[in-house]
Amino acid sequence: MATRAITSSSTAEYFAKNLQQVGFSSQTKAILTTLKESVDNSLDACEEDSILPEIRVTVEKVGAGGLKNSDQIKVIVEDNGPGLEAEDLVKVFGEYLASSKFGRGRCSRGQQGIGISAATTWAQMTSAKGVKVISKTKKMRMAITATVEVDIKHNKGVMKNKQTIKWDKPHGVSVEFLVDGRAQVGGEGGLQTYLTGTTLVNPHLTLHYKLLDQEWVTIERVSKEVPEIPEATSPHPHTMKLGEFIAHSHLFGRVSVGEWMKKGFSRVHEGTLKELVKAGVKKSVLSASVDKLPETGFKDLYQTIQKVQLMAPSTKSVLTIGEEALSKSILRLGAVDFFSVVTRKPTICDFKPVSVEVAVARLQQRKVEESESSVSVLRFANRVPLQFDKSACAIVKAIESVNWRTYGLVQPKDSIPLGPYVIAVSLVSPFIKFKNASKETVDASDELVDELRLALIQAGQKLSRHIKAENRANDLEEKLRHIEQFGPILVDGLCRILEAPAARKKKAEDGLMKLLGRDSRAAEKQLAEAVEGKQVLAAKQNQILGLIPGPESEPGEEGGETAEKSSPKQAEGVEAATSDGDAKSEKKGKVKGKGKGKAAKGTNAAKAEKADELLPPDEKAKPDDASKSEEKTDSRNKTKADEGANKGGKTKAGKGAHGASGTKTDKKANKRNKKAVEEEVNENSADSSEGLESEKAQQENIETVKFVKSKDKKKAKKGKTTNVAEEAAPTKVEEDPAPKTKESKKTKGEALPNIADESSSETETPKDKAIEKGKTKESKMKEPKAAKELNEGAAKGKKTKARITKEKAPKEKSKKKAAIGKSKGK
Amino acid sequence: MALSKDEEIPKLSKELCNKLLKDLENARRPILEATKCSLDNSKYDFKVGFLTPGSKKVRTELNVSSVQKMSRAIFMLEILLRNIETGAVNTKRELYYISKGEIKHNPHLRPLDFASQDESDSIIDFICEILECYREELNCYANDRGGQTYSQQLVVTETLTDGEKAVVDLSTLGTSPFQPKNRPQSLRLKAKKKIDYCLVVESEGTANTLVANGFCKRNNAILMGAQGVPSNAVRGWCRLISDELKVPIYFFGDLDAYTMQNIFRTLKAGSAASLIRNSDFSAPEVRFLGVLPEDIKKYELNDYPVKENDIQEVRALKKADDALKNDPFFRDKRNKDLSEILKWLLKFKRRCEQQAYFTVNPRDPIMPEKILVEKIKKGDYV
Repeated sequence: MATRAITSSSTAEYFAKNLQQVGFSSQTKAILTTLKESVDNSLDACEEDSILPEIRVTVEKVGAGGLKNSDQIKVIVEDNGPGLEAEDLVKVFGEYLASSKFGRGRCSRGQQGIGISAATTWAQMTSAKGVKVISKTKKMRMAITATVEVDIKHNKGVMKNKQTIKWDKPHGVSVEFLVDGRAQVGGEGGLQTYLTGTTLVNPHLTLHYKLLDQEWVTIERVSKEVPEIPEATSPHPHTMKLGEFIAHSHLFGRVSVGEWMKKGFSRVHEGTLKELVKAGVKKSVLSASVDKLPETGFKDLYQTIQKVQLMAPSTKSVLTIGEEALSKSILRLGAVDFFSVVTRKPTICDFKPVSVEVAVARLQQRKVEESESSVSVLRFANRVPLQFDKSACAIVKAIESVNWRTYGLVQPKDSIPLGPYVIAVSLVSPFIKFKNASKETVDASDELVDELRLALIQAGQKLSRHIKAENRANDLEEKLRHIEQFGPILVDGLCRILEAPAARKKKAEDGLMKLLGRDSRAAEKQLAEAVEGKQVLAAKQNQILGLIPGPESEPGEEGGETAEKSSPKQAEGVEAATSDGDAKSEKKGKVKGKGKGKAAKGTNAAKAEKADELLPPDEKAKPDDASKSEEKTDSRNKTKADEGANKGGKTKAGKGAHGASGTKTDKKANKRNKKAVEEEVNENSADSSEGLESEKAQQENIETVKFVKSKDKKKAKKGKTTNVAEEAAPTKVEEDPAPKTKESKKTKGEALPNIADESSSETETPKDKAIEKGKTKESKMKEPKAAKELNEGAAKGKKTKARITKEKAPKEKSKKKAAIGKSKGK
Repeated sequence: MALSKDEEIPKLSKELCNKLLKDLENARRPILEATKCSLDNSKYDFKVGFLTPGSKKVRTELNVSSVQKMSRAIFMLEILLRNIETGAVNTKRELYYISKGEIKHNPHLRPLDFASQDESDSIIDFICEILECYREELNCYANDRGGQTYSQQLVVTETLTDGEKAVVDLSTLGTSPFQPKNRPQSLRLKAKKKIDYCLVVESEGTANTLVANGFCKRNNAILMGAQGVPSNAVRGWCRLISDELKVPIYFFGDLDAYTMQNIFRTLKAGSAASLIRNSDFSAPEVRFLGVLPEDIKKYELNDYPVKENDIQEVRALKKADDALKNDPFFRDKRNKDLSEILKWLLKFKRRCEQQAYFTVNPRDPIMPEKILVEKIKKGDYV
């Protein structure tokens, strides 16, 4: 057999032959990818220089394309970014793997430096022309324009027709691609979807676009803050492979191994080195120069450090959009009835820092015709929309795993829910595990899916308030109809069975009308209240969005809402605390709530606010007549009975919310917290339609979870104990009202501030668990990991809290029993 | 004066309707009271032998929420009363369509229309609970499932609705079974020759096999296939055999949590859902013949572990745990042997099927029969 010479080819040659791997697998995708890469680059460039991006996009048909069934499409993207120097143009547009971001571990959209060069290649291959670029930096008086092409043989950019021109922009870049393909505007993989998606997760972006024959569309920015991209952190030794580990050492030249370890990696310090020595690494190795270490030495060192326990990688390098900005941005999707947004605290999944944000909204325009189709899912990775290969994506898997029925949505088993909703999930991480080079799907690791799931559950819980308020109004309307319809039929039936004379019938009808008339009036009143409640919820969202000024001057109304109404910013803080202990809310807890009042800020406040929000104001009205009568087995009844029992506490709690401005007392906050816990339970039980048995079991289940936890955690490390006590302490206080000695007050004062200092993501965890346990078998929660980081310093008050926790479970149980008894008595 | 059931129900119903109408005439809210049929309202007394209702009642007062349910109940009651009067019988599904028909012909009843059979079924159950009767007494029958009976000695006399009598000698049926009816009160039993016992086999297939292999020829016994969870017909039929023939009844089924608490418990002591009619639809004398945990060792039976991912089996185990704590039947000290089996199942998480007896001697087709007969003889049951 004749031997053939082995040739090597350039990176550009590889990609030129395999453009399908980077998003050019079909004609429609080619256009989308070209647009996407250009816009992503513009956005990244603006963020680098803290410029508020304003981008103009034009996509137009120029004529018939060279490829079969294709058009020749011109894609122009013009930004107001910092602009590129002439010598950089060839690198950016004409050279593969030339990137300012490669491997830097930052949350930028682009990472490797492939996309835009691939677009140039596609243009070059289909229309024999590279990309036409205009660029101007601040320093330039005149802009430069040139056509850049890829020298595929050598993976180098080639600049042609370079000229200087006048450009009215102070700085920026404009790119013009002439490519073959088919422009698809609508649909999941459409250009429009990409552009609206991009605006959703980039609230600071102003976008003008014109797609094919459509008119110019302008989407104004809703935030004037350029996201600050956190600096990358050094790599974590546990996230590297041996080869990377050795390569990493080459960056450090002649320093000792110990020094390299400390400087070159995160979470490695003097203590770690000692651990390494203990684990068998010779001291001489650590003091030797890193460039002289033999490969076997690296291997030993690498293997040993994998066994040493290190802190999880830092989450500082992750960027979030923020709930306020996301709330405003979601309105740019179209008119929405209501929405909920959740920003989770950054966490570690598979050793990489990750932040998850979720926005769920119900769109008005889709109401009628699309109520039977799946919700539209918008997926984002590092603020870039993902539009293909949906089913394998971690985000979709997480959405499918949530039981949306609990929140009032229609959902076929194990699939995406139905209805006129949008579920937008944004995943931000410096190291997103994509399944392919064209970044279409995020790999579904268990940890990541769990984290996404938690965010979705929280968003679902928030959304369910609105849905429930609406359902309640509908229910009441139906009840009113019932009275008119069934009354006469009932009397009719009875008279037929008894063969009663007409006089008796007439008398009974009169009697019935009297009875039901009373009910009617009550129901009408409730309906009015329910409708009002809906409006209040809607108004609240508008305030969050800043559409209506916060009624700071009207402190009187619905106590529980006041905290949110005071200003959009504050409201945002509250929402954030509810969801996940955003840094802001933590800060607030520390600054504002000193001493006793603190408790209400961090975790407790989070719950209390949540409860206030969870409960539409109409539910605060007195329980309707139904609760007096309808069976003991009716779970709704029990809820109402409980509500009734809580009524006193609730009113006070509402007032307590005014304390956001400082006058809050411990007791009030605690009552609210207690209510929050109960409300959760109530909500759950109301959801299940199984009657008293299951309801009781469910409640007991929840109780048991808490109780068992408190027991376990008492034995466990400091931080964890606090976690349980968060739930328990306030309840105990509620059980023993005011006169219960100074000591208990003192205890609270000590115990609760610690709680406030805790991450509020902790707040959610036990509750979530309880809910989940009550309903279905659920995923493991990851909070404990975060708890390790966050819970330090909670030693104070630990014992007290543990004691309180222990006492709490049976007491609360007995209280619930009493409530049941009450309803039975009636 | 004791009224027959057919007379009692219309009378009770009319009294109830009269009370409701009177309340309405006086502008008072009428209240319907029904026995609460659930485990927490179940009582068990070993001497009585079956689950009986406790004192808990479910009260439904007329208001905006309940007016629909009440109107529907009265509407359905009217149909049922008419059936009792004319002697017509129906299944629940048929009643669902009958009510649809009524509504079709009387447009003003349209608001009462049932969207699905579940809704009409729950109204029928509600009426049973108010009148404290079972649905067979309202001439509403389920289809007769299970209870296929084989015997060479048994003669059944059935009183038909028109008063005529039909006599069935089971020995003349060959390998065909006798199918008992949902209405045990219309059947009378006689034994041509002394019957030693009645064997209820959980699997209808296995019962068939035993008969085909000549079980009834060799044994003076009644053999019955339960076909899973015993239906009302099976439960009433077992009760009748126990009452009229005074023969011991043995149950032979799988060794697993589901069989023990769903099938055997229901047969022996009735169920929580049918508290009102357990007195006629349970056979407290029935004994658990096997498969017993000790049989596994004794006969070297093939058993296997409960699969962790089998939701049904795991749920049954969870329920068993719950039953040990809350079910008055298993909590009764005199049923300790049975609760011990549940505990064994929970502890070892293993199960063994009735067909495992076929492994003992695969070449002897009547080996299972031999084992069963030996067990009965030795008193090897619970």
